[in-house]
Amino acid sequence: MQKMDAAVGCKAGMRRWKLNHIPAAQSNLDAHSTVDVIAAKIDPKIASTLMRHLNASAPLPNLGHVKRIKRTSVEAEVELCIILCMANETSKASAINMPEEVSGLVERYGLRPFKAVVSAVEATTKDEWESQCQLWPTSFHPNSCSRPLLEFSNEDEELVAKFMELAVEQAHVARAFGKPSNGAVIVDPSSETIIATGYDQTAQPKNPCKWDCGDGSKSTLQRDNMLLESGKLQVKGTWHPFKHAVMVAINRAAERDISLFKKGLNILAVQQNITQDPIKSEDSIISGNSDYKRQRIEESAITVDNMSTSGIETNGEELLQQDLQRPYLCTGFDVYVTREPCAMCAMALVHQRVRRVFYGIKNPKYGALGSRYKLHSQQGLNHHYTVIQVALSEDDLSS
Amino acid sequence: MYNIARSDMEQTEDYSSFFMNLALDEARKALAKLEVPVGCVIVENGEVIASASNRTNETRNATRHAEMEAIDMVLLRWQSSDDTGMVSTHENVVHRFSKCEIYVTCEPCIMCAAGLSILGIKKVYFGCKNERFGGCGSVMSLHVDGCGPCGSYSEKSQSTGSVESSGYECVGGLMAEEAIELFKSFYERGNPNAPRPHRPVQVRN
Repeated sequence: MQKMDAAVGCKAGMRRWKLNHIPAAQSNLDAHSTVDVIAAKIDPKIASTLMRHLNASAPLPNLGHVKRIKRTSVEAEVELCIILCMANETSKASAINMPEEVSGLVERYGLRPFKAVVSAVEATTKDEWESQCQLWPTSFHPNSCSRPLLEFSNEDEELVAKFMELAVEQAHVARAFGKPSNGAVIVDPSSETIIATGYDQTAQPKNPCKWDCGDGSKSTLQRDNMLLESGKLQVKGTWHPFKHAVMVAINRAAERDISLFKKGLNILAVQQNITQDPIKSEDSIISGNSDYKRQRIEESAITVDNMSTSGIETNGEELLQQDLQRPYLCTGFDVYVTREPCAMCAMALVHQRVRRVFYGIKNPKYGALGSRYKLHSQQGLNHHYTVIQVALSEDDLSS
Repeated sequence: MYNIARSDMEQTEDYSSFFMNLALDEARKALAKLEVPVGCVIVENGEVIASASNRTNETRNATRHAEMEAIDMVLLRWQSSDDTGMVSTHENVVHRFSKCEIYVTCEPCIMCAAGLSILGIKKVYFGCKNERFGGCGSVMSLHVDGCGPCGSYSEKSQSTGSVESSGYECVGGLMAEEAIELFKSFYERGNPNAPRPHRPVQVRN
């Protein structure tokens, strides 16, 4: 498998960790792989007609990243070439086999088909994209945010190191409690805010203790650290077979969402009712919402302000501003975790729609983001995140 | 709770349909609460020890699938009745789950399928397939591969590492049509919490 060309060093204080992109491309293909297609030069006047016919009769499902029409300028004259269909691999170089509908079009418009070569997979970096376009133009969507996800400036690298340090701290807390050393941090990169932290709580403590399922846990890093410092290490910690570091962090992020935005959602729901009513009849999604909204608005009557329990201080005005930015789950957030997630944790991060996953030590046995599986390259999932390995060592987690 | 003479009913279609009907009841409850309609029951020795449905919208947590909810209920139930410390270790929990079956209206997703392996469940019965997220054959096969901890804990604290992950038996297609009908009702109305799609959603039949 290809390593990211842009693999760079990462420095913070005394630590220096290498960043490796774990690409999502299919294992046997990389950005330089190509496939053969059959193309033809066309008159610009018939371009849109042909596009319509070809998209219907010869769609290119595996070439979504390839532009169907190539446009070149030859001495101020625009020349267009269109991809007719995939080339049949078994046919000889000279023979050109086309589906019946396509040959019909070739005949009708008097086209002269030829073989062309296009990139087989979407580019993951700008450099790859530029080299792909030498063959035939492709599209390139580096990310949904303003900065490319794989191009790290020095400042970015320092931030990555800073947040990974926090995850390492979490792993140390777990270790101090006698639990497997793994820690996770969820970060909103747009504001560099820490959304939630978590550490592994899968191992039972020495003394029998209560289960802690989901919503019950309100413990924070600060509280844990205080316990550590006060020497109350024998405190009856909580454990649960699913409390891997990532799962704990996700649960806390959801709790934070509820406690921060509970009031806000109601206000927002009312606003949506007002602003979106005019288009209601045209939009089945919105009109289907009315039950839900009613339920939410009714809830507002019994909403309790539980800010104090979450330890987050905010005044009403701030809350109102934040309402409007309520995230959908963890959309746009980055996760830092000291060990490669297992399939359960990796899929939980897909469900929660995080943007990037930075993980430390590889997990050859159960790792789902590069080692045993590549969940982030699984076709058909409704969300894909970018995966970057930050090359920690076991020493980082044990020292 | 629902006790059934195990010797008579086990392995018969009636036996599994009985429990799948209970899971479908749970799914209907979820639909009424505007949640994605998936329900499940966990059965130990012919007795339903937990029943739950999806709570992802209410909790703002997309991991709160029916299976996760039911598993937490089981752990709480065992803990509250546990004065002998029989479920105070991971090994004990796995031992007890090895006698449990889960009936879920839709194929467990990759996350839940992995979780069920971590618990060492005996058998999974599911209704319709989950073509997009299914972890029991549709997208991945965690019921065969198994799943374990994040990271190989090489140190002394490897109290969970000693339990090897395991696959489990899996039977799909049980009352799948009923489960699909519930999904259709839900998606025709639209998931209120999902982001607005860029293009109008087309309902396929």
